[in-house]
Amino acid sequence: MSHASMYQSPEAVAFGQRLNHLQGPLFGFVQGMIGDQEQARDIVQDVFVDAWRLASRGAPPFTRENDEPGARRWLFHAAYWRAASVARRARVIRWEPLDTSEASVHEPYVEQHPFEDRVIEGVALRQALATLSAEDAACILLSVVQVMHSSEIAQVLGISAEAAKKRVTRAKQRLRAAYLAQEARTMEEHAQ
Amino acid sequence: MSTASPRYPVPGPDCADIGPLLPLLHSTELDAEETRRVQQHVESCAWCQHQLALYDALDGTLRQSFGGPNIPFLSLEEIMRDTNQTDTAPSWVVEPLTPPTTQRRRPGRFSGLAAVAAAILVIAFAGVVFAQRGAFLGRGVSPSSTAHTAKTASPASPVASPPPAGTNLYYGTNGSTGGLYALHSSDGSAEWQITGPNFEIAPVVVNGIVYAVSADNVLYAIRAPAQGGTTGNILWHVALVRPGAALLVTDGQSLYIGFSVTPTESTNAHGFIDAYSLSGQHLWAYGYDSGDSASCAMSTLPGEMTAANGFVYASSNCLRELVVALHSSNGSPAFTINSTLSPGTSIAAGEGLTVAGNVLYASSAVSGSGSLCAFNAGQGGQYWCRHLSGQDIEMTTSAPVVENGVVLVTTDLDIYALRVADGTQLWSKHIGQLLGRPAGSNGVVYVAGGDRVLHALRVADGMQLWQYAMAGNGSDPVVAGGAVYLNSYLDGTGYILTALRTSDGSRLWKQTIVTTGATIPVAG
Repeated sequence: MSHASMYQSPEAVAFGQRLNHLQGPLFGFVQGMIGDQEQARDIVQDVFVDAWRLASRGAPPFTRENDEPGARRWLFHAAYWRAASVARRARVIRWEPLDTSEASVHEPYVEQHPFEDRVIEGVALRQALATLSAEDAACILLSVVQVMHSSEIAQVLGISAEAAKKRVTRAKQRLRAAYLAQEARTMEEHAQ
Repeated sequence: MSTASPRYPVPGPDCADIGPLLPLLHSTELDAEETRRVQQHVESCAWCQHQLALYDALDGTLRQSFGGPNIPFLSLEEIMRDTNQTDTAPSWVVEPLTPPTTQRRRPGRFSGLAAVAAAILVIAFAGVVFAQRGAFLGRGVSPSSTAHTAKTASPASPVASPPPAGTNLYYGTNGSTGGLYALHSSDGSAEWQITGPNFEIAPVVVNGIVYAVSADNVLYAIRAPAQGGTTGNILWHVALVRPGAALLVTDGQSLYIGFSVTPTESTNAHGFIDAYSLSGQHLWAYGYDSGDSASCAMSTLPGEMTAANGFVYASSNCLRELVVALHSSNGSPAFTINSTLSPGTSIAAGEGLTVAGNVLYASSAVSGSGSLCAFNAGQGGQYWCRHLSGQDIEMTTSAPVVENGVVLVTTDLDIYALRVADGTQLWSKHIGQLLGRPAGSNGVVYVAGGDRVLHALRVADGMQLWQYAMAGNGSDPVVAGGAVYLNSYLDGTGYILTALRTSDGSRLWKQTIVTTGATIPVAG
């Protein structure tokens, strides 16, 4: 099949719409997991190349029936595996020891920061997210940013729904602890 | 007289129960009763109001930061073009190899004036690479350093004793400096390289030939160039039968490549293992079909597939089958090792596998606790299975290593030593940071933590012999020829490849690798 005729095919049109619709969320997800924008773009591109191979053959979930949730899950699953592999290999993960059940009642009270500090909070949040494991970061991003239910997260990550729900809870607790630690360090630096 | 209210809210007696539910309150995870109970508590609890406000603020910033760009950066034309390009072998493969342009350095003679000459050669070498690819490979050799960061338990030897000449280190990189590189292990100087494709999987070495899989799904066999050459001699290359290669292992007879794939409605395979001969012939394929698309995945990290004794072993995170053993001759299933866990127990991916003698060791982590088991490597029968009582075990991060009759394994935070014969725990050590895969040699185990420290521990009792503060994050140490090699990650800039003397941790040499990603080094 020629390039031009494929571009006009219904599969190509549907795939093009999906590409436009999902590349942004997919990029945000991968970037959140690995931090590096250039690598995130590469991964998203690779994922869509793999997806197009399936779509051009009419293979599930990229069939004419337009299984939108299935296609979305497939794309995030493929991106997750690639990003997790990169993150693990790069060893950018740093584990913050934390007993989460203790942390919820013994951590110090921290005043909320005013709105004008939001930009700084964003930077601190990125740094805090980078301290989590790839799996934890993925759970948070899928739950909070992509608004996926634990049953859907389970399919993306290849774990049970029960494990996904537990992981989301613990990951958010870890992120909060890492963020507070990051904030404390920042405030300490400002004070000096 | 007035009663002053406390400045800061304090947690009440119910907060410990409600606290774990707060992160999920504004999601769809809680049922109606849980939601009502949490909301009711929060209304009257200033402490939980504060906790919830922080969760909400974090969620808001997460959505703002990682929602992704609104303007598409990929077009359908680009995707189609890339698909066509990666379906064929890269064009550079058929180009004539670059003739020798620089004199290859002799290993084991690195001192004084020779160091200066070597640095000049490396600069010239980098210039050649730059001219060829428009990219900068590295920053040259650092023959010595005054900032010795090792803390030793015994006095450092006054004279460095480098590894035997002839041993090489091989590693792959990606990004603008993507390629496969060979260094002299004695001094870290460059020997040869293949640039062009990205190599994101650690290569293997059999009889002096390096086998490597590129990110564009091509398997290469590469030999060192003739005397004086700087570009590896590609003996053959073959396009893989499927994309998604994640692991390459060998038993010295054949090559086995592990693939992670996404199941579709037409195939429920979660992973594949393909076998190739050492001459590049595709021998067999095994599709790992779990029958449970929701909870299974073929593990795809180093240490989760291994080949020995006529078998290929691969781990998964399926409840039914933790390990699959295949006959290496034809890929037919020999046996599986099934989980003895209760149904519904979640298993984290990442079971580590190691074969020593006729024993297969498998480490795994299950819902907050880990285990290490020993099996008959030929039949799968269990010898022993021991619980690892760590503080926060969610995922076993390493394959076990066997040294001096002791099997050692690391989890997220701890390292454990168990007697090979019966699994008796000899000692454990809490290091408290993400631990990489350990390496053992001559009665010492080396393990690097996320705290940027390499620990050298005596296998017999866990006593720390020395430690080395790395400049970068983490590393899976590699031990060969009296040296420990580390490839630690520097935030945003690249990697530092370091060689340390096993005896006292003093540094032999250090190289900076400018790349976005590098594999662990392989000695051969």
